[in-house]
Amino acid sequence: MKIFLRTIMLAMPIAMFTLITTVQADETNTGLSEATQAGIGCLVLSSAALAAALWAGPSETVMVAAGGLLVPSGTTPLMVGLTATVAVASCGVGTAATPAVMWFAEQIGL
Amino acid sequence: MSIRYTKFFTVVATCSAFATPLNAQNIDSTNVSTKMSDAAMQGVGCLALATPALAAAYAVGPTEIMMLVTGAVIVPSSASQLLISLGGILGGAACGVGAAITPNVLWILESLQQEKSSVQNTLAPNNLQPVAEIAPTAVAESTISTNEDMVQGWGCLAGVIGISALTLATAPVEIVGLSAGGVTVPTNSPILFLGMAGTVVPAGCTIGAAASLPMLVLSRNLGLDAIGQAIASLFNWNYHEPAQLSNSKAKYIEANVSAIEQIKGS
Repeated sequence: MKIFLRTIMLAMPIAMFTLITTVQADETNTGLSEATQAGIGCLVLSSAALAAALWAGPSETVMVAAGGLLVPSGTTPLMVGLTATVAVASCGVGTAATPAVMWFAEQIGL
Repeated sequence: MSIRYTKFFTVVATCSAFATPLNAQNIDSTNVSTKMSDAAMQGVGCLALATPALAAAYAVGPTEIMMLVTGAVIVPSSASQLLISLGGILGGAACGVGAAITPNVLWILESLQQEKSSVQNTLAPNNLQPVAEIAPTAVAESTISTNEDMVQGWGCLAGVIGISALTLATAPVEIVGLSAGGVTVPTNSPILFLGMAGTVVPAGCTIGAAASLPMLVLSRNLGLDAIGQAIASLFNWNYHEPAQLSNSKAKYIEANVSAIEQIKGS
């Protein structure tokens, strides 16, 4: 469990690091297309959702999300089950919401 | 609607999906502009993967697959209810994967076609036309290029392979049950595979496609793309050498050019 938790915790800094290194590489142009920004939004939100699920109770979360009664027997089935339910849903939300978030950030001067 | 009609419509839809790009290519040869857009080709890719998936599901046990994919415990009372449910869930999942990998499939087909045409350009005796075809300007440039859709397609494939391998290596029945919230145990391997196709496979494709572009940017910024280029060059992927003529081809061109000059002179 710890290794998966650390992996998820690493995913968010990686997404942020991608943004930072890109801006540093070419300050006049971030070089990130909308699809890339949407991908970063997917990674950030799915990592956050997985981290929240692991914090709140992963077995119960996957059972609630999928509507099942099956208790995962190990860490890998649990994580793949969470990926196929919670992570995918939050990835879709992150992908769809990123352009709007970027527009809002631009409007308020961030 | 009986199972027999359902199978008939499935076969017709499959043939239509595969015939569409071929038909468009044939019409294009008559100088009619019928080039399909990227979105249209992705639609064809959607049909090309979703229809065989539905056909396979109907062949091996649609009710059990539906219960496996959705976690349902209700047995459909008619074929039409089963078709609508199966098309919406399993067909939609396969459609998304098919649309995502369509640019990559087209790229592979284009690569194979170019290789084939370059082989066909091998010069034949007493044929002056290949002289123009093998001119360096004609073969130096390739129309193949990478774009974001292709990167996302490779990401989709990597996600599908990764999550499928992880699932199969650990507890596939349990993972499908967890993902779908079901308690159905598949009776054979094809049903299990189709159950995975409706649950973990589209999940891996979605996350892989979305994560591919940020990962590509990160690898470029960290200078790791040189490793990928080195590996790609080993397999000659997207690696274009300057056009070079073999000695035999050069001699043939030289002989034909001099022959043409003699004809012009006379």
